[in-house]
Amino acid sequence: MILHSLKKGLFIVLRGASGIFAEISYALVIIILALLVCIIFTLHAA
Amino acid sequence: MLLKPQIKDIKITSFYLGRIILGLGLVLIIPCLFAVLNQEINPALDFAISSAIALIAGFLLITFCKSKEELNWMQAMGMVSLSWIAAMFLGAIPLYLSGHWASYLNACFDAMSGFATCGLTLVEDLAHLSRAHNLWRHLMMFVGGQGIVIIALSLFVRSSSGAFKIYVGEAREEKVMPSVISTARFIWLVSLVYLILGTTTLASILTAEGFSLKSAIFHSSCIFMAAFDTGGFAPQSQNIAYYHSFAFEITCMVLMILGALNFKLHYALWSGNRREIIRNIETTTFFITVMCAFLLVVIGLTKEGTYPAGLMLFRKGFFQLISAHSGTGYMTIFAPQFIKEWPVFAILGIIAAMGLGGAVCSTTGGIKVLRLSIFLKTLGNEIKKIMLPRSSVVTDKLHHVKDMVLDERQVRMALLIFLMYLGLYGIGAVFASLYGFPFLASLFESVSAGANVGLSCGIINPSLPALLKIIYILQMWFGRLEFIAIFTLFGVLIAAVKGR
Amino acid sequence: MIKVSKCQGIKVSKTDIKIQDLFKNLFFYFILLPFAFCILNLNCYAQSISSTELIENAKQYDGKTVTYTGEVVGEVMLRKTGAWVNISDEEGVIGVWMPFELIDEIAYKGDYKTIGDWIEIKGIFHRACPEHGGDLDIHAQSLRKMKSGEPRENMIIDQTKKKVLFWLLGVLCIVLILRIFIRK
Repeated sequence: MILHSLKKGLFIVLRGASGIFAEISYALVIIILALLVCIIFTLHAA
Repeated sequence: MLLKPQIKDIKITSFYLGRIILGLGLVLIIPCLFAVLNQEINPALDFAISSAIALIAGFLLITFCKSKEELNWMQAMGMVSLSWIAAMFLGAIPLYLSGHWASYLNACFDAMSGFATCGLTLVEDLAHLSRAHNLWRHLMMFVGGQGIVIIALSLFVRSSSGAFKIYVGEAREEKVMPSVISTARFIWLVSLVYLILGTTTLASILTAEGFSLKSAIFHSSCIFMAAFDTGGFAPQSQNIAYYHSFAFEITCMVLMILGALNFKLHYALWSGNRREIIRNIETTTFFITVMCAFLLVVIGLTKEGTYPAGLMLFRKGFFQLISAHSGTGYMTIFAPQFIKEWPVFAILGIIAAMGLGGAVCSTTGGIKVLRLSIFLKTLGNEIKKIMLPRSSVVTDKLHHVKDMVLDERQVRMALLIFLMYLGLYGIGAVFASLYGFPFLASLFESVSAGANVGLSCGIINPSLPALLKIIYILQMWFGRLEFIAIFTLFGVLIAAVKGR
Repeated sequence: MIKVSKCQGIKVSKTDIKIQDLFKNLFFYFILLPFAFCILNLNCYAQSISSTELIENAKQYDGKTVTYTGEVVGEVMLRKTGAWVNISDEEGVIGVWMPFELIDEIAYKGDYKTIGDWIEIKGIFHRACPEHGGDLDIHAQSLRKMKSGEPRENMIIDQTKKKVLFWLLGVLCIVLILRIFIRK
């Protein structure tokens, strides 16, 4: 039963690897854009 | 006409409540074992005592209130509300026994803050707190973030008809998978996968930054649990500022954003539908609101010259902003610095971000971006209806995993919850102002509590008046359960007195 | 006896000389010395400042040399060019950036099982350190260990808690037995 659940879980995770990549990319896009905004504003202020 | 609750209703509610309490009793064994392994004997005794109390209470309830009937809506809502109160009282026992909380009320505050994934804290001398107690603080966030009821659904509930009602009671309206029980299990799977990925990444960074391996693993797992569940507790009082690490802060930001995403979105993406990340109304709204709120913060901070360099602005300004918007509450600055050094414009950006929160069916709190998008869509369509010819048909539609047409009931519920949150924030701000705190600081703290964020500007500390502590506890409770379950409980209590 | 001295033709009495000395002393001790002290201490705070004072008035202390005293807590984080040490003065905790030579003196770091070394550091306070991404920190220039740390006394098992646990386990057993009977 536990082994079956583990196998099922592993299958979902392997299938979901591209989804994990997409989610992390979405987060990184927000972070990089924010960093660019900071740099632009600081240069403008200077 | 109000109908008085029957003995049968109390029995069924108590039976399921007993199961939740049993589950909590079993979860309390984890920090107990951890304490034994770490040779922290007194903390082990604290958790053993708490676990024993929970198990006794749980077994008594399920033995004397045994019922085979399914829950109806009223019983489910009442049970969910009461289970959070029970969790608070039980979770506070080991905290109070540690001696690091001045009173049981302070311990209850932290327990509710933990389970509600808020992050506001009244702990004293955190540097000398045992690792077991520190683990429990973070474990409460992990458990509360997934949902106390989710644990029960995953482990104790076999049939699904009553399960959906208690699932909804915990402010999760959306079924990720056809069965609520498989939804609960999927939510756990996502959390466990990211637990492994997140803890490994954070531990590697900390090891490179001068931590011993054991310490790195402990800190990483605690920080992961609080970051992904958008909680905000940290093992040290300086919060994330303790680590002095840019790489660590970036990883925390990624985890906070992931925690703010809808579990339904996780399912869609993990099933191969990668385009959903840009098509989904919540991800696009979240992106826009983050950028707009950040613009407010950046304009304010740049004008004042608070952080003159770009990287400083990012590490202090954006980190606080994403922490606020995701409802996490992690800080890389000290609490008084918000009021002493940040201009009003920037603080308002943070307050707006906190109040909005992340996605529905995520671990975050606040109004939620889906409700904001429904509000804006509805407003836009009303204006369209006025401007277009009378005979034209305007359909309220948005894309949330699949294309959906907005019906009146959905719009009404979204606006109702929206208004209730605004009311909650206002009431908390007024109460704190009555105690003499400045209004902006009061509003900041109230929104932080009501939206279960955890950022603080310094009002919340161990010497806070008892009534204010109770107000904030109630705000965290209301904010976490999104009102309906709690109002149902109040309705039941009123019916018990006034009903026929 | 009045002594008379010739100084540029002016006659001066002993009493006058004593009064002059008194004024000279007064001038030195009450005007010159404090003035010199203030000039020297414009950028330096010799008395230890609390963490609350530093955090709440960060703008005032920014860039100045401060003295901060407290217990070393948590980890000493070794980095490429120095180390982070977190110091708690019971009101709050501040991160201190130290050169490697100074950390050799630190033996005990405070945690659940240990009371850390109580140290006094002198260094430059930053409200938003440009070198460390805007962190509020102190760059230590000197360190003095005031009291050595030691293992904490809470390792002794609390007997009251032990007794309470035994009673509770007894009650739990009774409840479980009751449950079996009721089921039957």
